[in-house]
Amino acid sequence: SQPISQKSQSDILNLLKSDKNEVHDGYRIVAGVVLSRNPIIFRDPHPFEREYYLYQQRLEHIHASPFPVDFYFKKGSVAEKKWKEKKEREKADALLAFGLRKTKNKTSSEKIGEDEAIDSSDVSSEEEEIKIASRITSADLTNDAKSLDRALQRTLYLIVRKPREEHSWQFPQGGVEKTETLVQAASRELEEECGNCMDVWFVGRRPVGYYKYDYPKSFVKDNAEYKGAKVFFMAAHIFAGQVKVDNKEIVDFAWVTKQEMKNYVHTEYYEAVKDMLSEH
Amino acid sequence: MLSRSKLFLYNRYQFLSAVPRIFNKTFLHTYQKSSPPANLPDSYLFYPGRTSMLRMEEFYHSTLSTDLMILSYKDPESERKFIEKRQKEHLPIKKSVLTRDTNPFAINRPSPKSRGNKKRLPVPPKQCHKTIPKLLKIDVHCMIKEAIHSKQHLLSGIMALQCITSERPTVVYSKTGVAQWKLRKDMPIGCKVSISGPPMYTFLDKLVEIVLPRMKEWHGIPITSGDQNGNIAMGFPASALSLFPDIEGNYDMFPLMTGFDVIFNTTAYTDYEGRMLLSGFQIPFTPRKKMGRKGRTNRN
Repeated sequence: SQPISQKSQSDILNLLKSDKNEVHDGYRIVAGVVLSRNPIIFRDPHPFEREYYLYQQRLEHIHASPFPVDFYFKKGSVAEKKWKEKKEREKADALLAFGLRKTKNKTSSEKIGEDEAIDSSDVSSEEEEIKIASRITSADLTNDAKSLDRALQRTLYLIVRKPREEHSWQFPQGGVEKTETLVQAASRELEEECGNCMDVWFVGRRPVGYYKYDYPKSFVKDNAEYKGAKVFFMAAHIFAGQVKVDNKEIVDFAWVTKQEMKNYVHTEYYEAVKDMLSEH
Repeated sequence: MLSRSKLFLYNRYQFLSAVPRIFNKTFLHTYQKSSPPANLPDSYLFYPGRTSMLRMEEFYHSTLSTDLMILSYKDPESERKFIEKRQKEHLPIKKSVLTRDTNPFAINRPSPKSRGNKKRLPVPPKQCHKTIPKLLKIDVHCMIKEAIHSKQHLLSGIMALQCITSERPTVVYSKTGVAQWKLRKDMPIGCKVSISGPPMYTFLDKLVEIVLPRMKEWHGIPITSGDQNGNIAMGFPASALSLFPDIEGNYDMFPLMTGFDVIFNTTAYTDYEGRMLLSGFQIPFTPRKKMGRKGRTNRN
């Protein structure tokens, strides 16, 4: 153990050097941001799930009480006529699908095969034709890692690249000052590193993860004040906007899923961080 | 010539099911087989399972539950204080109840009945992934005072509730009589329906996306709403019924439009967490204009 006079001297020196940043046990207190874009569309159903839903739809159709046409459509109204026309068209389509063509004179009362898939989303009349957008966007096809429109059914996390060789990719993070809370520090660091063009909401004031690491020995030799850092991760969601690279603190950024992150960040970092991230 | 009972089984699709129809859907006679279990399609009690994925449920599981876990987490010290406070405020009637598990005279014997009118709230369990607040069921209830003089008015309420929730409501009978309103005991005075699972999430979806944004002069559920145990209630005026897409189309078929109330039954143990859950589903809350003891906040 150090002699008392030497210890107090180094303490004073430390205070002078690091008057702003929070320190604990020689580790710098750092606030990190786990900024996520939530899933926008449904996840793809499992084939068994899909079959189950189709089966239950058929059962529901069989067991449902007959549709009360008189209750919903007034006799002789235009809406009733359109409804009847729609039903005729559906029947004709169903028969056509099995090669049983409808005769000119009368409507056929043949058996409809059990394999008729009753899909809930079908194109109705010409008036209201709702065009359903594609589940796979252009960003998916080009694998644009910077785009927020990629992987719409997954959660995307923001990782940034620092201008260094090793451990370059990480979550945005920065030191916590003595006069501010964790959320304030996280919000400030996010703005400093990634710009102010994002609509971000922090989930509460509690951290969701913790990662302690030691600085490499070459770095410690120069700055003797910190041995390493203790990172407290704060969860946040992005609703609009995009990252602006300033080329000073960060050089590059990417929006990646939990699985894709393995290809960017260091394995040690990933092991420490993966349990915070969602599988959805 | 098909017998009457067999005609009943053939629906508009006019085809036979894979399972042979050996069960009869009429009254049970001694020479017939017993009725099938309710989960089989041949039972008259059969209720089909879910037919699709539900937006609100998927949203809850992918996004909302994680955020709720983060927001409602209590550190061990705060959790201990919270549980102790709840236990202290809502003590059981007899001290012996506290030692029920260890008291040899109490084990395997019925617990004493609660006496008096004091409300006793359940004590919340230690927090874990299972205790994240979740929406259990929604109760929709309609009180129709016109039913006092004419029972036909009940039908309108029943039809309306069935249309908006897709479940058949049950009739509510009065428990006491009020001479001023000419109300007697055991008089049919309203209807209620309880929905959970897929119908609940579709109802919530309709409310949040279509009905609530279109309501006139409505700024949110009052923040004081809640039964101190995480269940939030709200009332709708009669005009709100016309905003539902199920009723919008054939508005004229309903002779009497009535208001109704909706009770969100959640697994939260405090009103604060219940409100947090509903806010996650995009239901707004508003502070009451009146000042006073409970005017602006609901600290529970």
